[in-house]
Amino acid sequence: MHVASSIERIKSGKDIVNNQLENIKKVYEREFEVANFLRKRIQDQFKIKVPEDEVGFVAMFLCLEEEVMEKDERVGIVVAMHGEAAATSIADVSNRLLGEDIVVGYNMPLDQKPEVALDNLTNIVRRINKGKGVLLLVDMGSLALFGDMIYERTGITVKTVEMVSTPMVLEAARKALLKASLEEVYDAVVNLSPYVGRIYRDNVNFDRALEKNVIVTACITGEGTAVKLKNFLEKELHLREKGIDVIPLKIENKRDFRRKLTRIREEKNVLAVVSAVDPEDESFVYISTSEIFDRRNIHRLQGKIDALSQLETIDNMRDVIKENLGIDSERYIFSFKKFFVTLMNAGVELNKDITIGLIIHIACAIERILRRRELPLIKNFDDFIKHYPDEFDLIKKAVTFFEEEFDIEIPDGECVMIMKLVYSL
Amino acid sequence: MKRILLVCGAGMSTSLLVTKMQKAAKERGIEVEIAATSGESIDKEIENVDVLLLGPQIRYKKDEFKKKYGDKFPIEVIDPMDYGMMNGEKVLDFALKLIGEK
Repeated sequence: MHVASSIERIKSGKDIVNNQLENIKKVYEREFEVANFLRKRIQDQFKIKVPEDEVGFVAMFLCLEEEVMEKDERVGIVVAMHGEAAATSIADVSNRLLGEDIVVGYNMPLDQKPEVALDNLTNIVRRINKGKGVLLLVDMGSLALFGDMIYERTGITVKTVEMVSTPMVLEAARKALLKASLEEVYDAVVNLSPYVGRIYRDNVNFDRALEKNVIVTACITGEGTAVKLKNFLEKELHLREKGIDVIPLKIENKRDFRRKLTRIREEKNVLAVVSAVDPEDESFVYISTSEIFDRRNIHRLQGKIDALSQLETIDNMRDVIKENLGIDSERYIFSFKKFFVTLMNAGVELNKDITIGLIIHIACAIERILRRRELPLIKNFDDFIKHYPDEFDLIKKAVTFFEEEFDIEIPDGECVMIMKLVYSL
Repeated sequence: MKRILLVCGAGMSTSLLVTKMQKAAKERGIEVEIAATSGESIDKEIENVDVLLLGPQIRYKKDEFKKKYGDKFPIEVIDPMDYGMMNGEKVLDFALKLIGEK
């Protein structure tokens, strides 16, 4: 999938830049070697020249599983402008759009002495520097010279960009959030072109028109695969008619993926994610890219998509639970979704009847356990465990979300009852 | 007095619905007996039943019950929406309609 769009991209003469290239070469030496070998074969086969940047991306695919937690350090971003509110205003806009508190604004009133501004900015840089340096975005005049002066005073690397605008700040912040180095952040801002974040821009458009329910497709380079996946899904699964939109995402790695998903989730109801990278989040249905392209899976996939609409049903039951049962309905629905998605990810298809029945049944059971009242007993529940060991294990695993949320233990007999409902035994 | 019996897997969620139906019946001044049971203990409760209602999650058992009890009384599945919303009023209406005494 990725290689196909790479070849397309190379043929059309478009370049792609891999900012992590040097890093990848160093850290994932072996993966890079393997990717390089593949490169030769592709070059021979398609008579094209594959740039090293592409090789880097392929290497990233190869090493995804081993991805280690990076150090949680970011480049600091400061916006400094003349006027009473311009800088803080831009900083605020950027922070809110990104859902992060990363950009710091400094307003320099026209009558403020440069010395005072320099002192204040020095303090700000000291405060926000986390060891990776600080990018200073300024409008004009003396502010443009402050970077070097701050460096002299503090030894902290500061790079300065002039003629600041909101898109530049956004791009800087976005890069910084991805834990890019100061150089990378700086380059990204300076070379800001309309091409940057094409997919990201699509998202902004989407945000206005999008349906509430979305499926997210994501790929590591974001230049094509995610969009292709989107087109494929919409066409094959008739998502438009179902009122489900697809958001293509460009991601750098698993952490970046999770962060972006969190942001989307603030506004949208994410039903499923389709990607080569599993975000490992129980609240989404995860569909791997390879699963999509195996034609034989399309039926199963359709089933999954149909079942997704039930997540809405689950949400709609919140009030009923609240009115009729003495348990925390917010927490209950929250854990029920995880329970439901776990079953779905394991290939269990639940119809609406059963889902509704389960929501009420399990809520009743939890209420009884919390009040230390007896649960209805099932005869010979041991036999069921013996006859359906795999099914039982799955249920056991899925109910842990309730057990953890409510700090209770759901007895085996009750798990058998749930299993009977789930599998219509 | 007419007797309505609800059945689901464990008899737990239907008993919740029964409470709401009883309330609805009382408000309307209708004298009716409403009870809930599990699929396992249904035999103990089935006597003198005028209508048997199934929770939607055990819809698949409808045929089994039909075979077992024949045409002695109506056997129907509760509408999933009414069930999900625990709508005692509507389910009571449904039951009374089936008994043919509204």
